[in-house]
Amino acid sequence: MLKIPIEILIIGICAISLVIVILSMYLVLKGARNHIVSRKKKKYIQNKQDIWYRYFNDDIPLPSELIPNNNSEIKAVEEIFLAYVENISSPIIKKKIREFSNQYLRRYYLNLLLHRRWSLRMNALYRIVSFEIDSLVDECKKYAKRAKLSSEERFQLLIIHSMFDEDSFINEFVDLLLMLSEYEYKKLLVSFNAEILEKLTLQIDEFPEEYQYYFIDVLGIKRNFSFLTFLENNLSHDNTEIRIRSLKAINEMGMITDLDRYKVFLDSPVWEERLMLAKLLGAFPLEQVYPYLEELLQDENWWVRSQSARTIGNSKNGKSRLEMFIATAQDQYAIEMAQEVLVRGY
Amino acid sequence: MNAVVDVLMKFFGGFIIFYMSVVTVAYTCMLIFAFIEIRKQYKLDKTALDEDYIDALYYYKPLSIIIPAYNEEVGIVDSIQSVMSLKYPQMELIVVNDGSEDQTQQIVIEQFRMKKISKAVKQQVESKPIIQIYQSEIHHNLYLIEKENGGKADALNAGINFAKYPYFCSIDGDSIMDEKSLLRVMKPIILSNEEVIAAGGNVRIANGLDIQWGSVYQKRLPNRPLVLMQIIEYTRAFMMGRISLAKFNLILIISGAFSVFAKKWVIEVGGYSVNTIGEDMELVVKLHRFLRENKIKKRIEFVPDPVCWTEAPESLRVLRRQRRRWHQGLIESLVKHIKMTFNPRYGKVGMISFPYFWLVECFGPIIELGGYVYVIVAFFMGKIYFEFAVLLSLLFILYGSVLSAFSFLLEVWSVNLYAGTKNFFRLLLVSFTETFWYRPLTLIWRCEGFIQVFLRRKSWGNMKRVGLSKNSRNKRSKRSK
Repeated sequence: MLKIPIEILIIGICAISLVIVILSMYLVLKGARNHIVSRKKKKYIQNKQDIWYRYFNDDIPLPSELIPNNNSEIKAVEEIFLAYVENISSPIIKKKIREFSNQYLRRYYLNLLLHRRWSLRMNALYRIVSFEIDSLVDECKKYAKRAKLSSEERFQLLIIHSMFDEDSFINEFVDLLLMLSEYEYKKLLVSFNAEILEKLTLQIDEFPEEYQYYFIDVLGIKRNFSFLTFLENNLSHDNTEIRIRSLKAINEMGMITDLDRYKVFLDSPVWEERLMLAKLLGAFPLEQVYPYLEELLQDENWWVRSQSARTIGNSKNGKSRLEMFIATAQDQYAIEMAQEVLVRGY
Repeated sequence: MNAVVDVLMKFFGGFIIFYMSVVTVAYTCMLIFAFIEIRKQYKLDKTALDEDYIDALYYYKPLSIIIPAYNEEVGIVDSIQSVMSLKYPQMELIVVNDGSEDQTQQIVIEQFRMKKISKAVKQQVESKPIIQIYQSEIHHNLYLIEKENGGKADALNAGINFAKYPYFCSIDGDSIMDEKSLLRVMKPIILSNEEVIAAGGNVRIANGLDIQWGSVYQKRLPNRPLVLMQIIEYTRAFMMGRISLAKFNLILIISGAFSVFAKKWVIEVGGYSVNTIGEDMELVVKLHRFLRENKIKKRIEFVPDPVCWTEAPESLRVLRRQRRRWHQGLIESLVKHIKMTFNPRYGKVGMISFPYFWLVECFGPIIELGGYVYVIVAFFMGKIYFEFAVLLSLLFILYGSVLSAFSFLLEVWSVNLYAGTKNFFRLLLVSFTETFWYRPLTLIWRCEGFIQVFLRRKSWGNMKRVGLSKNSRNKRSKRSK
């Protein structure tokens, strides 16, 4: 009864063994091939890296020997470029890389871009950004119209268009922006230049609330003073979260021009706003803002008290001010907070 | 009498063959699935993804790292320094001294100039009282908590209570981190808009590798077949379990050696369970259960990149103890949450994960070991059951050796950690031998664990800290010199 299954199993195991043998041979051969490619690559890098260095740093025309002849040499060039792009930010070198890539690597990346394999297409999209291959932008536009895009592809395409297509970007891609996760959205905004961000400030009110918050956060990260007015205008916004985040972003910039604009927060019913004010006041000379800080030091909220004690303690002559305060004040909580800052030193 | 034996032999033979066939088919499907998943990423340039790390500061969530320490004077400084060298924008390190009886505390205090601080700690999950808190004068983000002894889970809970950031990561003292591990493990959490509430990394075997400051310098294959076999075993578990289970949010075990959790949810489920052997699995199961019971759409993720290296046992004695302990932990969690099994209320976890873990992981070893015994008995009983025995043997080879070999080939194709033709054939050869020695050994050990659970042996308590043994520490510090 069992005869047939056993025979089938034996044949099956033989077949499987054969498959394993064939696969092993394939993997060994593949390993050997990879080894040859990486040796060629290494050789190119060893021989040519000095010439590349000279080409990048001196004002000489492109030596023809640098032009790669085959795929392993292209991979070597790729590695050299990446090392420069990631570690050195020189506009001249960037320009040379851009020109070279547009001329000699375009075809290679175009092939990758049209490849059936997702991972290779992704590699091409990454490189288009790294080497600024703007001659492929039209191809990327076609790419973006494909019916099926993975979230990684979509994100990378957005970066490409924001880089090379500033004018039409906002009109064409705003909808896509709102499909991104917080992480992707912030990452993309950080990569934007000031002009695109400027255009976004005009539309941001129409975005969902969270996306407005993230936008403000990013302005803080970018520390670009041209957005100070936008942020200061937000301080009278109806949405508390927007006010707090704007205060935070302004604090990141570390610069306030008009103190009067901020004084209103002294009496804010929201403790986070008073806390941010206590932080912001650190940007002014202590003499000028001490009365406000002393008021905040006696705030009902622990965080506000703690922050104002720290702001005072970190200012010039702040320690002696705190000592004076301890000697004269009545508020036991505030005195304890001042003492703690004096003991800890920060 | 003979008739009874005949019926019994045929029944068990048929049953074991049926079981083995089902399991083999299931594993083959998982392997194919893993192949499809890996193929997507094949040839993808990972350095492009790593560029993210340059400006990671803006998007990553701050993280608290907790190292529980009990009598760790030998390696604690090493551990702390290796964590401090990890790449992560904003983190704090909390060392929990769980009532050590040696010099652990003094050494940390002296080495990192720890000073007493007073800080109120809110008891969010249950843990033994904290005696004193210290902060380092050298690294402001390094804290030491001195507390009464309460076991590893209790120490971790104390760390959770103290942690100020929204995510925490527990690290086993004797595992070695890749410098990017924290970034990699946090990645799914960040990318998913925090839908992922826990993530574990792929743990690999460190024996034979020269790892310094979180980077692999030299890859040599260890000589001992026992360790080689474990390399294959880890690969197999990864290819034929973790990838598929994680994809469908079915995973019940993420490595205890290195995992990140969202603190909020861990507090919701009451933190780590004290007095369990497998506190890691227990926590993951509790999280799944909580999510299902409250209909919350969150996930637990597994990161396929290697992020953590651990030293595999090199002797049969230690390996045996480890496997027994794993099995006990597994059974304990399964029993504790038995009502989730086949309970549609718990969705896929209840309908697929639990039955799978019960059948294959928990009872599987007994059935399989029964199969081995059956084969031996059948051969002795002569012709009648000969065919059963041959069929079963072939199934064992298919299930053990052939599937392991395929997993290994898949690994070589995708990652190829140990390059070189010689290494390749050595590992392939070893994977073929699995059925004949390693598999039966682990089966026996797991069955021992099974028996111990039912005998309720009291030896649990002193097994608490196998992973943090001084022995492996000594070896590690020697190697890093």
